[in-house]
Amino acid sequence: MPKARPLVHSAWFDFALTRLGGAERMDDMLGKELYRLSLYADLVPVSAADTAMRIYRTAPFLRDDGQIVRLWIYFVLRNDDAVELHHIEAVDEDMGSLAAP
Amino acid sequence: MRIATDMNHSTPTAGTSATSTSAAMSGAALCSPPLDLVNGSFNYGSICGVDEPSRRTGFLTKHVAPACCTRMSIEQIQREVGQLTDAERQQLSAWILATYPPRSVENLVSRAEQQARRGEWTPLPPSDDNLPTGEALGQALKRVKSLGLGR
Repeated sequence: MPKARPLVHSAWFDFALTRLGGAERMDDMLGKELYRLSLYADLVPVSAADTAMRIYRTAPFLRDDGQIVRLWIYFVLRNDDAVELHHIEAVDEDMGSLAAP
Repeated sequence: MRIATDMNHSTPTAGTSATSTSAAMSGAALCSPPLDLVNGSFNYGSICGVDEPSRRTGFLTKHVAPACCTRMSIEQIQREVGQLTDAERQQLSAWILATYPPRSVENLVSRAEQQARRGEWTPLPPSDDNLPTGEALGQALKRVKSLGLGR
């Protein structure tokens, strides 16, 4: 397993996690996905030629309110190999696209 | 781990997603739960439009509001909290922290790392499903621009 990179983030990011969390399952998923990111950030490609931003989305997650969401994590892999976490959001999963083959 | 203090989101920014955390911070889709001092609990119903059964825990009951009023404005909350005794305020703070503990990247990742070390879970490399493409990627890039990320 590769060495975990440091995750650099703002206080806002922690605040966002607090707002996203609230259930043990969600916290567990958040932690695992962020740890995966710290290990494999380099395997997430740069999302466009004109930006260093990389975008990672988690597997679909069934939230307590019954909504299926994915967490989208926007980050930059810095030259010093740290993962700079910029933004995280929960995006409703389109049920139709899940059902489609 | 290091924590940078000067990044793009020192203040909440409105996102385009219905359930983005940015939206949540403005009290929208993620059901930011306001305090219900009458019941000594958070009242999810006031934001989400879902009535939560009244849960009377026994404290704060001396500040009784009319029966119809289970939703309070921020001003009302501040006023009610201001009237609490120190003991009640401590009780309220303890309850909030116990019920909604603050989370941090470090705490969550540390727990996942320990689980991985114990062999309870194996972190796998990202699959194609983790990498948005096509229209989804296009939408995400629009968000990158609209939120001013990566500058």
